[in-house]
Amino acid sequence: MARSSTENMITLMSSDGEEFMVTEKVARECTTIRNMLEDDCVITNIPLPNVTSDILSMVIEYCMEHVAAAEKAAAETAEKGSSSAPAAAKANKDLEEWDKAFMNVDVYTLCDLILAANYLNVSGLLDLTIQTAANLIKGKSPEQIRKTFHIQNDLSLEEEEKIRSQTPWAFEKSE
Amino acid sequence: MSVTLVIDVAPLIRGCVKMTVIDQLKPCPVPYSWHTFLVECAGDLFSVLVHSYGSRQLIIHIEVRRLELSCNEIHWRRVQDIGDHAFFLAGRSGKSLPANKARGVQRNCIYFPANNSDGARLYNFCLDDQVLNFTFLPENNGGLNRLQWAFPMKMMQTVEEDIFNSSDVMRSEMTDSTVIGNEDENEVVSSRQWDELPIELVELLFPRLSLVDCLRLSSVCKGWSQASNFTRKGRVWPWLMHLPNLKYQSWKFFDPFCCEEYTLKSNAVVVARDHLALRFSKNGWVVITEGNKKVFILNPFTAEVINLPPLPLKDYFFDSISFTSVPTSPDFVVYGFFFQICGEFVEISTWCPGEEEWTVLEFQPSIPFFPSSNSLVLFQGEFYCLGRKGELGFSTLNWRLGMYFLSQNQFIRPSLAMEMNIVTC
Repeated sequence: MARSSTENMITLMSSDGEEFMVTEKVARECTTIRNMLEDDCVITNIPLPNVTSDILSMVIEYCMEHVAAAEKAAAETAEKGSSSAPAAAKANKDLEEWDKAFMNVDVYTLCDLILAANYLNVSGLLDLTIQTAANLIKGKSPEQIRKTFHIQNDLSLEEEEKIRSQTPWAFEKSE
Repeated sequence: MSVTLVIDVAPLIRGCVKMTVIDQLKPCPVPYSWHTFLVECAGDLFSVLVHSYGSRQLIIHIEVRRLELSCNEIHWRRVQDIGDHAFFLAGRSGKSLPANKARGVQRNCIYFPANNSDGARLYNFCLDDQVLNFTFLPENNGGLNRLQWAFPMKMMQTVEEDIFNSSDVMRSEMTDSTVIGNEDENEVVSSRQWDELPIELVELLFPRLSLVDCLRLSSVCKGWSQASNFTRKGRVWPWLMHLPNLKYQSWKFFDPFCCEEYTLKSNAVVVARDHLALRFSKNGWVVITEGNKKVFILNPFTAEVINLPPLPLKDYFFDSISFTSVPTSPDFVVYGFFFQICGEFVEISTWCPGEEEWTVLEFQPSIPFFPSSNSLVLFQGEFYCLGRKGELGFSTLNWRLGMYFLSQNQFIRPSLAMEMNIVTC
């Protein structure tokens, strides 16, 4: 990514004290940070006590990729006067492929990414992670869902029976 | 001169036919048939005309008209747009649903099943581009009388209330632990535990899951069982209920938008399964007839059954049947209309819960009225029924019966709603 020397750099600090230098443009992908910057434009160091360094680095990676894709598209439009539809479609597809590869993570990381995307308010990443989780749930029985996400069943037999008895048909095919 | 283009798409699994728009259907040299449906939608009354052609019942023409009322006149105006709604037609009845309430459903589209030589199809006609698409429906031996759209809305409300009530205690106990992460920002939120995911984030999953997946999700763990408002967050799809010829007591439901079929067990005692027909559905309840005499109302989602008294006369059935609200509501009334073949009298039968037999009233219209085969539609407090010539019959709930007459493509409303003579009471 081309960085002009005049571009503001922001330091993001993870919960475990690691510092990440990013351009303001990348940081602004996080609505939570954008709001902070708008409230106080001289801020350069933002502590993020809710996000660990490994997750923060992934969020930054996601934001950088998406900012780069948007810049590339804008540059192409400026060059040719108008964006060519096939090129735009290809760029979209490339980004989708990138997202797909990016989502190749274990369920614990996915859970942390959802929390971080929600906390930092990165709508694209929240969409992506929630969709990934939904895809893991589709067509599974409650027991299979528990297994996939490593969830302990803390419902009593009675509570579970009560929930199931209201719509028994929803559970028939699942076992 | 208008030309009708028919493309044979039978060999395809999913097909697409571009319809030519013809303003008025010219007399056709080969056999064609048509169905009309009345649909109430967002305060307007629509009529939908579906023409099919030849022995293979190819759909050739679909037309939507909206009823326009001015002070003295009413007429049908052809429209190309039903806005953000979708129409669902089946059997003799039609209903509408805001498209954003049901994921997978396109706005400004009409969905209807129809038989073809290669089996039953679900058509989807898009008014925007006049393109007709279809998918094949699962095996349905019973014909179109045995298909009905069912929206499990009512059922979902009940489920929602029950879970909510039963988990009130649980909810207050849980509050302490779930709030910590939000209030104390200095705490490291790295739970890495899915069951501790805040409930509002779990709820984000609902719009992306089918109804059944949502229901299963809620029985995974205590935390997730709190997330029960998936009818608001998620989207409840319309399902196509159908009756396969089965030996055991169950109904089949097909969710056309995720291509899954569900089986619901039934408590209804049915003697002659082969003679069952689905007549009308509303708010999750379905009117079912068995042979010529027996009629009952079923909520397949809750397995509740209400048996109605035997029908008032021998060897006939209503031309259409309808009801006002839900059976638990105090203003619940079932209406059955029977029109004599020569159009000289109309019989309206009603039944309210608690009554042992039907109340039958007979009316004599001053001009013969021949109904087309569509269900009665409740619109602005009146039941409407479409006549074969396009005229619109209506009956108010307080027993006036009137009719709009067709004259040169416009309905002329007699000075007031023309009252009919009540012959017997």
